[in-house]
Amino acid sequence: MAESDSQIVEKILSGDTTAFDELMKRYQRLVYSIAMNYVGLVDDAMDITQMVFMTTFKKLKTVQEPAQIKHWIIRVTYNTCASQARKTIAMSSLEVVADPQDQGHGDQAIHQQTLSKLLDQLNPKHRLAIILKYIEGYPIREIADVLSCSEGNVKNMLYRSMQKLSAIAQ
Amino acid sequence: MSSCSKYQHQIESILAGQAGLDAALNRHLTICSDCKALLALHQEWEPFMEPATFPTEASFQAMRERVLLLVSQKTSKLTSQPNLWAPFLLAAAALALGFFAGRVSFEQRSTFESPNPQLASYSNLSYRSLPNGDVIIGYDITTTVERVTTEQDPIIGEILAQTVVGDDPLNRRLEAMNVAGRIIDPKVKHALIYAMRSDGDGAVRLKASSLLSEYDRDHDVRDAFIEVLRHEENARMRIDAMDYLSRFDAGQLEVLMQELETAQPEPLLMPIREPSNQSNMQ
Repeated sequence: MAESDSQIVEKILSGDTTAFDELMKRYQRLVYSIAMNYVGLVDDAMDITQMVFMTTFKKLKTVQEPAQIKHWIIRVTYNTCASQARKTIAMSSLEVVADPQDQGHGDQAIHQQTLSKLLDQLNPKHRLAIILKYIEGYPIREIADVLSCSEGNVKNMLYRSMQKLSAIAQ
Repeated sequence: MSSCSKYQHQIESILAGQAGLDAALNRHLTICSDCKALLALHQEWEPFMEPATFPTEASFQAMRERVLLLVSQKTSKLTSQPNLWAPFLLAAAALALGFFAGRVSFEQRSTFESPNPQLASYSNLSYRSLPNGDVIIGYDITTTVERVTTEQDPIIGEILAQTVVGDDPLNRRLEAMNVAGRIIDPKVKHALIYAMRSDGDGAVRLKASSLLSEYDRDHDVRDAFIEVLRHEENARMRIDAMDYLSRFDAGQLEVLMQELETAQPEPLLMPIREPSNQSNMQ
């Protein structure tokens, strides 16, 4: 029987690095997927995934509800992506835009980048709501937990975000 | 979108997957292109739910290994409180005893095992009491890494050189020197020369001399052995020096011996074999 998140967290806090590896295995795809929808580039998404787990390890002892570690990791991912986005904006004038074909897996990568650019139009929190809803398929209640707001607020965020995106798409 | 506010709550519920279209909303959609577009986008995305193409498990594993490597030195900080402080308290107690016994200096260095020896060990401990009863404790954390590689790997030469001239126990240094004798690496050579000239332990100087005497013609080694003949009192090392120099340049050795005899009428050790004989033998 698989260990619960809180059992894994407890083991990590007692110095068990194998447990931390297990935690990373459990959530690496989720973190990568969210990161990919923020940055749109395979290498950058993997870098962010690494940064998220570094932060997770460093801050783990501050987690108040180990059973909710998944939501906490999503928030760390969101913060890391938002932080990276700010740095990217600051550096954008110095960078050469990479050829999407070089960065990913063909059409899927291009689609991912297009989606990423579209989501760029949203503020980071609304963007996370959209990613969790449409890409990760999370129920509203869980998105509300992750974003620490009410379900009504999440619905409103989705509504406003979709309003904005549909206006852009038109 | 003035009439849209009437339907906003319903649309929000549709976006959340908690409601569907009804007749009233359907009528609204026929006259409101904004809401229609919004729900069209939702319907387009709803079945999408396709995450990014994921990298291979090998890529994920490599990432995890990088993370584990980077955090390994911090692990001890995350261990549970009793385990974390146990070695500190033990060391502090030992140091306190030392103070009372008058045998341990204030900044005594010591080494002890971490709660999890596979992860880290602490060394260079320093301990200081503060007036309010707290303590300041300082320490280095070291971790052990094992890897399989060839003797030609530059890191081997680097590590051996550091071990030869470092503070490791004598047996470890001599073991390193045994391996160093098989390695052709400038750093190892200079470490051996340094050890032969300056090491405080006679066994290390002797071992270095023995290994260097097996070197092929090398100017650095030659100069080091000339120094040995001029200043070293150890007979075995002087023999090594003469053997090496006779192979390198027998004429130069003869000149050197005359110089030494002139400066020192009773040399500590005469050559066992005459340089000329040595060269003839070769």
